[in-house]
Amino acid sequence: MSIEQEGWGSQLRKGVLELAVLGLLAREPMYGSQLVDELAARPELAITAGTVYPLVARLAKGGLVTSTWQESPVGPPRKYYELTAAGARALTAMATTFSAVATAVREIVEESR
Amino acid sequence: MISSLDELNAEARAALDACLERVGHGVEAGFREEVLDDLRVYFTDHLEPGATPADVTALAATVGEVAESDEPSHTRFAGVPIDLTPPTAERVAHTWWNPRDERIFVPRVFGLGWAVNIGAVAVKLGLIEPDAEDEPFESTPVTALRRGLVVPALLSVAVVAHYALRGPGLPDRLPNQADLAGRVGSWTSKPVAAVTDIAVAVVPTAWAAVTVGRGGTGARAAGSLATATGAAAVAAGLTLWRAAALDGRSRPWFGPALAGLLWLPSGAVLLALARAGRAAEQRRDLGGAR
Repeated sequence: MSIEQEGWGSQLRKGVLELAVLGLLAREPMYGSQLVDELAARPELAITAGTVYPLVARLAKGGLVTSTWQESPVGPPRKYYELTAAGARALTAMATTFSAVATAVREIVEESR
Repeated sequence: MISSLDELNAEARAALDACLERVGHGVEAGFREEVLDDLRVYFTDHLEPGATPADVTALAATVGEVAESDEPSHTRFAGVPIDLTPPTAERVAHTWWNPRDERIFVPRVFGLGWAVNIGAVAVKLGLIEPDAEDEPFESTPVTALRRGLVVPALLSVAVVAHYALRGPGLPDRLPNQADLAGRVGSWTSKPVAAVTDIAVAVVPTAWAAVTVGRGGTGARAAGSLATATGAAAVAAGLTLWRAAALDGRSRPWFGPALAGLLWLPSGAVLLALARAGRAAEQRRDLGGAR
């Protein structure tokens, strides 16, 4: 893969990461390393903890997620992240935009083949 | 999604205009209209017709932060970051303690080169979680900040006590600088050495004491304590070296030890403050369970 393509892929992943995090938290509240593991299990996203934690902090500052410490049955307490009502609305809007963009791009790419 | 910003109600539109104006001020004039146009498209894509001013503000906060984090604002000189913005206690705290950032070496608060992100080191050593605090030091109790003041205060007292008690017995000229081999490179008069060491220890400590004493909290208080601790530790190390180096022996460990004195005690204080903040958050959320 050329450097340009790698850079493009990185930009694309950066653009959808927020949507991916909101989507995961819409399923269930998650603690930080759980979120990192869920994202790391999808190698196409190429996400590391150093990307996820600052992003979650920005989402919390923006009021899209909240965090709460909860007791853990297997160790020290963990900080869980949960979607707020504003976060759920943002997720819906972003998912709609993402689908529309993906559909349009897919059509163009398929036509060009 | 809306098709035009005109679909927003008056309150949401006013909130959006205020946000755009704020962002516009921070953008170079040549790019301002282009950036604002991009932002208008972004808001059109992400806002719903019934969006409230709170929705607009929440979205704007995310956009601002993403834009800030994309590319560091540091100018580089031959690849080395340089920042000549006047340093503040908040910036010291955010630079030296950013556990969410995996990078151990980050651009210095002021000047040319890199600083150690002690928060990243603490995470790698398993001493704290990257997200232990919602916002570093915001939940740290005042009592913990006051306890943190004890470290630079004790170091400052030790430096002053050294010159008060041992000073009269020291020679008139004391070592001032070491060469790369750790041998004395230059000498200075005893009063100059004493005033320098005492000032380096006491002035930042007094500043931190005033900051914490006046009820300063959060990153501002933590940054002032970390600065004071680092300065007082370096002053104490320098004081000891001036006395020890009188024997003329080479001490190649002097330079690395001085660097360690800057980072280790400051790191220990920042770690203690962050852990106190984490404990306060846990008490808030878990109540009597903790």
